[in-house]
Amino acid sequence: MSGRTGPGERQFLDPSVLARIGSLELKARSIVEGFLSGLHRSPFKGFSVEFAEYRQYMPGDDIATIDWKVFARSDRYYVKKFEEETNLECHLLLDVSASMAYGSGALTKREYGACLAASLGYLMNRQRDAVGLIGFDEQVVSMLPASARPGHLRALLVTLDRLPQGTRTDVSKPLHQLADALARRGMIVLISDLLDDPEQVIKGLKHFRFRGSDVIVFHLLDPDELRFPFERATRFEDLEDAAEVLAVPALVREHYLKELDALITRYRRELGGAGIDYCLVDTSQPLDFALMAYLSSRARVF
Amino acid sequence: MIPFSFLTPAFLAAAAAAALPLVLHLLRRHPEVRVRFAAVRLLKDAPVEQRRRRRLRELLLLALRVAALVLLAFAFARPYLPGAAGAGAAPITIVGVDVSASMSAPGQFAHAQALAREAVRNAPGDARVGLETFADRADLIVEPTRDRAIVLGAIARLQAGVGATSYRAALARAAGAIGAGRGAIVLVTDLQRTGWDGGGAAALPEGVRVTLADTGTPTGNVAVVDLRREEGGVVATLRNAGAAAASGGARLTIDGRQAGVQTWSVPAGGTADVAFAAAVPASGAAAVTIDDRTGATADNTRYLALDPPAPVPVLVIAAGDDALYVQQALDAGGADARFAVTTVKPAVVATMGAAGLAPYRAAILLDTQGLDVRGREALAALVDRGRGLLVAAGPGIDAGVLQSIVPKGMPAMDVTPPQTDGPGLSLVVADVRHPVVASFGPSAVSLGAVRFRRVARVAAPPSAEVVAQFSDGEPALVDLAGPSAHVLLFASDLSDRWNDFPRHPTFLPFLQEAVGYLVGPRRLPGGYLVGEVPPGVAARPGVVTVPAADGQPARRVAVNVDPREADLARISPADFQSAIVRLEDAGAVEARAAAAADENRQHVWWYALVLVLVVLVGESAVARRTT
Repeated sequence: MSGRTGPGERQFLDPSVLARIGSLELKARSIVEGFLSGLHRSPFKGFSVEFAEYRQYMPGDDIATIDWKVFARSDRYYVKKFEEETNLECHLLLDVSASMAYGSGALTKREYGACLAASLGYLMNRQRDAVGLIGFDEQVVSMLPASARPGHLRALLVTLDRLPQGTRTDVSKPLHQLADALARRGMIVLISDLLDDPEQVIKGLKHFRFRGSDVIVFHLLDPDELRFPFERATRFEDLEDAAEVLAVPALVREHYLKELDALITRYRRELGGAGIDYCLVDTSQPLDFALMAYLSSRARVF
Repeated sequence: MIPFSFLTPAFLAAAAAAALPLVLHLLRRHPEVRVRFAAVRLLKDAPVEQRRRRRLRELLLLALRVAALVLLAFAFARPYLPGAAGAGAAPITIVGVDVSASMSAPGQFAHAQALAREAVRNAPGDARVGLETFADRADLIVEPTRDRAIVLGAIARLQAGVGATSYRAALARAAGAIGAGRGAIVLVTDLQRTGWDGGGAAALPEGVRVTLADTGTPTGNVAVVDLRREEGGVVATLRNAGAAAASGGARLTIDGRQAGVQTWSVPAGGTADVAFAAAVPASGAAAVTIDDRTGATADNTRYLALDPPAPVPVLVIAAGDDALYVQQALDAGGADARFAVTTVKPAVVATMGAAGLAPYRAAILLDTQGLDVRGREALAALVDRGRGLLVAAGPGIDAGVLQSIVPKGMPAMDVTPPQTDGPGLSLVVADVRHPVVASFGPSAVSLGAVRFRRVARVAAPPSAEVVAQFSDGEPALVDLAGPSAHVLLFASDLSDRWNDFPRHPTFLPFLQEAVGYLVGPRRLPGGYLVGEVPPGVAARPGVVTVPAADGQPARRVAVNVDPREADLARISPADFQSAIVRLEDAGAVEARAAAAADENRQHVWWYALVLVLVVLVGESAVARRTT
């Protein structure tokens, strides 16, 4: 996949720009349309056989798509448009725990994750994949079953908007629950900061793989979490519990970054080993990186 | 108690800036930023700060910053440790007893001793008491001590002396004994006004109190203030300092034998001469003693050395008969001639060497022909030893040889000899105050009568003084002053060859004054006052022998009491104290100078600044771990 967005579209996908767009739907559309318009060739062409409409032939259209019967009747060139349709069932698992409320830039991880989920939902709905949404913290707090209906996108966006603020993170517990509950094979997209016991998280995700689902993990981290840029002595208060750590950043930075690197390395290694796509996402970066990761993963499935 | 004193204590006010970090600390009591963070779990094993540890570190940081500011103010205040005799030491009382000649009146010194004992007993209980005696000079007889019996014993042994009073010497010595500490000076004296005569500043540290114990003065005093040889005998001059006329007898003794008796009568406040007709030998010792039962006894006798003063040896270096006029001019006076002239040829100087030239107080160089290198070196060494040199740049002087005679610290003598006779020139005195021509006074113009047919050109260096010049403006007599002696360079001859100077009446006084200037004082003194005797001579009245030294023969001189001691005029205690006030100001300056010297020697501020540096480095290290 060599398709990239141009400078104009790229600006459109920037998180700081997205933050100023109020509607999640509009955000999703902006992201996806901007993203897709940058691609040279649609990866979805030929997936569907369901007729959608006729359109007058325009120079450049593939002449194979010209309906010769209509030409015979009307002496005009029309091309047949087909609805792209698949039977993929995808579930977006969005972490809504308190730790996702952290954000140093325009968007918090939660907001960034919601944008990502909406964009993915929009994209999937556009290509007639069934998409569902599950919000969780230490348990499942919201669940929208997967569906490919055209109106389902709206339901998904509304659900995303209304997801409650979670508390503590326990990724593994809801993962195990969902792995058992989602009997049908499909795609699982986990959007989380994965600030949990990595062993339990990996176990939960492997459970999905065991069930035959394809899993893609978007590991969202704020730039502050990735670079730890603090300077002055700081009292760090945990977003999920009452834990406090008073630290001089200059003294603990090396240790922190080492710990974080070990965590990321472990996820990347062990999830990759289990056939799970792992994508580390910097929430200060445009979302097209995440979408590209998803499409790569989906292309491999089909 | 802070053991330091400060040169510039105003800077200590800057220590108030130490409140700055305190205020900042109080304003920022919760300086740490609070951040709600998601990945706290990754920090839990990090080397995070404990709250108590951080508080301690903050307090340490605060202490270091405050210490840095305080130390900075401390350093700028220029601290120093005062000496052992500083403010913290016990007070010192110095009892100064006047032992000058004026205290020798009957009963007066016993009264002074009683006052001194009273002063010792009245000294503060915790004070250390010292005893000094003063006249021309002050001597600390007893160092400050708590044992007052020692002081009282020393007072009992004191006697009136023969010196003149000097209150400055007394105060300076007492102040030196007290040092920079607190103290008091009690002067037991007759408050003689002449005690404040003379120069030299005395200084007292601030805080030193001066008390006067007045012994009073006798009702009258007649003193022999002069004794001189005159035709047919000797004459003594008497002065009556009392308020009433006085009379009595006088005795003349010569070499210890009575040679005459006279009576005298002197009006109140007046003087009178008493002549003794006697055969006075050419040498010996004469003394006149008068009867004065009321006044000081030390000034009742005056001494006279009858020996003629020894002439000053002068060396003339000349070839042929060039020295004729010079020798005649210097020998003038016959037996009373000021100078004993010795004439040698230039070649002889080398054989004399430095040792052979040593007795001569001055040399006159008229010829250089035959003056070899050793002779030139011996001449230069002569000047180096403080002896004078007169060079007459006449026909006998070789400019090259002259230029090679370079005494230490003096410029070379640069002379250009004349080739032909020039127009007749005359002398013009350029500096009438110069000792060589000062005695001429208005008669200096008579030097202009001398006609110079031929003159050398003398290059006068900037450091030299042109005493006289020719009528064409060129230097005629140049004074090259060296570190210890003078060289006079005369730009013509002194032998009647290039000028007619020797045939003029001004020649003799000119040469006498010029050589007199080179040899120093007009003549060796025939007498001294008690306070002015040279080293090796006892400071007591009488005729004594001054030992031979520095090329001078041994000679007898008279040593007498300073006639000012006969003056009974007194200074009031108020005037005395007002003089002390001025001295106290000077003392404050000296005390500050002493403090500055102490501070400069101790360099405490330097250590303080190093400490500031160390503290700031520490502060930086702690701050890096805190912020």
